[in-house]
Amino acid sequence: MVEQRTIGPVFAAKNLFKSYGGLRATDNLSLQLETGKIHALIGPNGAGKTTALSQLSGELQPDEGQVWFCGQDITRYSMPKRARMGVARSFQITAIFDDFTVAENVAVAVQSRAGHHFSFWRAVGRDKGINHRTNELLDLVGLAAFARRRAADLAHGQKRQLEIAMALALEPKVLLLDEPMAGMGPTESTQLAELLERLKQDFAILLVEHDMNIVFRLADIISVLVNGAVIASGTVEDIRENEDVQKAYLAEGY
Amino acid sequence: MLLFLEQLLNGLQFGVTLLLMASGLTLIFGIMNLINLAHGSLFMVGAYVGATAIAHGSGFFLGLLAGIAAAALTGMAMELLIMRRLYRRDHLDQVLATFGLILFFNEMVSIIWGRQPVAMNTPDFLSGTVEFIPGAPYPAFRLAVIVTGIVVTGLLYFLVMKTRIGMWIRAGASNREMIGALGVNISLLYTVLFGFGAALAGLAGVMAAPFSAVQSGMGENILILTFVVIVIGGIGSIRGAVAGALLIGLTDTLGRVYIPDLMRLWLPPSVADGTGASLASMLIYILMAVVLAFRPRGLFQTHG
Amino acid sequence: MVKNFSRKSWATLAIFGLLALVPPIAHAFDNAFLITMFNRALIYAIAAVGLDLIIGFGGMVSFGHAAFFGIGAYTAGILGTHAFDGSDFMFGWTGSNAALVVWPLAMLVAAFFGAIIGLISLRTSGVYFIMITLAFAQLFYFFFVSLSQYGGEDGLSLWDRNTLPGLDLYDRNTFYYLCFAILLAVWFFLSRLVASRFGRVIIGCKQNERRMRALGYDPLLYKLVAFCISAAIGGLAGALIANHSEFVSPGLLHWSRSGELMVIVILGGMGTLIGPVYGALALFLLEESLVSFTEHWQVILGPILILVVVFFRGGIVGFLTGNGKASVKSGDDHG
Repeated sequence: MVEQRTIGPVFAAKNLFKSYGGLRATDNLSLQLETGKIHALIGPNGAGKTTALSQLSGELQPDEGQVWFCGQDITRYSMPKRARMGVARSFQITAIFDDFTVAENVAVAVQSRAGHHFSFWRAVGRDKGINHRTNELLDLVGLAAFARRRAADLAHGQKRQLEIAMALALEPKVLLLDEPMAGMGPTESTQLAELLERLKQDFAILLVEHDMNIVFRLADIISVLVNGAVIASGTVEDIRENEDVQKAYLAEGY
Repeated sequence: MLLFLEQLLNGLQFGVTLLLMASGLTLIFGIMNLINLAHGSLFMVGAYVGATAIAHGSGFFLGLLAGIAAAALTGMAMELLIMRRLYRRDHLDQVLATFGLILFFNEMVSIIWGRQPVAMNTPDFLSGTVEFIPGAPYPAFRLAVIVTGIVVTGLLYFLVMKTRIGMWIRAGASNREMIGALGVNISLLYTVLFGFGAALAGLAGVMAAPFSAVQSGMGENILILTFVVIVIGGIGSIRGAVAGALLIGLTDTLGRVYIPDLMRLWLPPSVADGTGASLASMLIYILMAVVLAFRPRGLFQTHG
Repeated sequence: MVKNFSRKSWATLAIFGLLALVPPIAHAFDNAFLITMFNRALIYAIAAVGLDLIIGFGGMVSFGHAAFFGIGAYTAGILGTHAFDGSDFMFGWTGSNAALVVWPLAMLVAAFFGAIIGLISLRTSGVYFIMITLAFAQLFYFFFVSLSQYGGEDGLSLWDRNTLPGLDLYDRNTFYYLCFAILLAVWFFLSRLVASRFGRVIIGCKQNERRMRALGYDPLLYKLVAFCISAAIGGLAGALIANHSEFVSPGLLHWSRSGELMVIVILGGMGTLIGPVYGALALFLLEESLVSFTEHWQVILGPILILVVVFFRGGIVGFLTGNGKASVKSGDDHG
């Protein structure tokens, strides 16, 4: 892919709308992601965060609006196509390949980048290029010691780390992370937060997250989603002091 | 034109039989997430027991009841002994186990009843014709089948959508634990439901018996057609099942009558009849392929 | 894993060794019919190993595989008929009896229809897929029933077996070892395939299709190719069965035949590739012994199948390798 160091947003959603029946799940959602910055998307349960993320990743088509990536309108592109272009996502409910080993999980993601999916003969397990990159990524997320373990047997936090490694294997420009810390203990969350801080300079990251401490620590920009609409967007300080946000969260009992 | 109307009614009658089968099958699939290939065997059991009872002078209604009861009891035994071990298995296991059941039942009926088809006559009081379309007398029994099918399906719809039992059933489908916590005995509910689906198959079997040879293997022919109905209509959609059943019933019946006629235009009659009949059999599958090509999840696709 | 791997290797060696010894053993007992019987099992094993690719590795439960089996058989039957009486098949071509023409064609035709069926049915999954493949097989069943110029319901006799330079396919031993070699080749090819990049992709699709899409793969494409490969192997097996019985009929496409193929895969152990070979042998031995016991043998076979499904999950190979649940893994370890 051509290296595009565009100034400004590498990824943008413009005026997305999505309804189910009479229900507005996404209501005029716009946001921008820049390389080197973490944009957090927060909001009470049922605010439509995952629905929004699905439209950004291409799993869902918006009813209206556009998604732009590197100056290209990708609104009609499928999730696989976006992934190949450089938009990687992780899932809220851990999505890994249970019956693969940890290394195989990462390897299948590395292979997506390496290509030759119609090679029928050579053993992929002995592919030096893929294995090398796989090991690098496992080192990066701290799972190298577990490479040969069956993925299903990992602890919850490790599965989340594995998901990050798989997303990184795509060598994406944009990372869409759907509650990567969900279900993690405090130590694990901190570790993952540190990892994200290290990664941040090379990627444009959208972080959907519940844990406010993590969000306030990591995010450069925060958008608050309520009933599918962004009610506020700004820096950590802006959001902390925003009354609408406080109301929305207080109503939820936060 | 009158012939056409008559064939239309015949198609409706066949569609109603398919609808009863499809209702039972989707009820079981929708609620227990179980695909039961042996649903056709229950149809066969109903037909055999009904036909035999009537042949031994039970009278039509007792025979009908016997067929339904036999199918229901067989279904419940099936559920108790085998199916309940399969609810949490994948569909492949379910297909294989119920394939084993088919082999068993098909062979069992030929042990009991022999390899020769058993005939069933229409009951005397329904053997006449009704002339509700002027100039086109229509067999009363066929009309009775249509009416019964419509009434039973209507009742089923009412039961599932409007009653407390129906609410339990629908809740159980989406959340086993929750309904269990409400103090409803899920195991029992499932056994009863399975028996109910089986009873519908048995009813369909007895009602179809006078029109088709009652023989080993009859269940699978109708089962596969029922699958086509479900696939065309869209899984889990009641409207879809109705539309699919009517579409298949009409296509199959009209195809069988008119395609051989059409073939005679350019083939000798002896060849035309045979080829036409098989072409008619292919027709519904072609219809299915066309529907799926445009609507992969069926005509009335449900979300997700 | 090393222990498992070697146990599976032993299981593989054992069954292939046994199959290689069938002709000499049969001759020793002066029972040439045994060769014919085992040959039949071999041919079913070829189709079933091909089916295991999509069921065991790709997670596509095809309940219509007999269609490809029948299509392959009819390709051989129809081309052979024209070659025999010199009549025109299509565009002035009078068919062929040469195995090197007929068998690849059988595979191609099967793969072609596999592509059509696959394109329509692979957009669905689960129970839908099972029902649709079953229905499509039924479509082809009725197609061949209606094909009156090629025997319709009564089927079609093959006047000559196919010819292969230097080999006499009428010789029991030759034909047996030829089928055996083809089984070995198919098994070897598929063993490589499931450990390849392509194999990794289809196994990934079986486990979590949504995740594969998020990783940039379009599952449909890969599943379709796997489906076509499996169909082609089914077509090849069909051409062989046509030669074996010198007769083809719509019965080859009957829905119960599809069920039988699935039973072979599961009975032997799905997702193992060698399992279906065990499964084919086991099913045929079981049938033969039950038939000698009662003409109503299916009344016993049915419950046996149920017991296998309920209590014996990994199939024969799962039992032999100590894996209750046969694992679906690419053959090679990482490193």
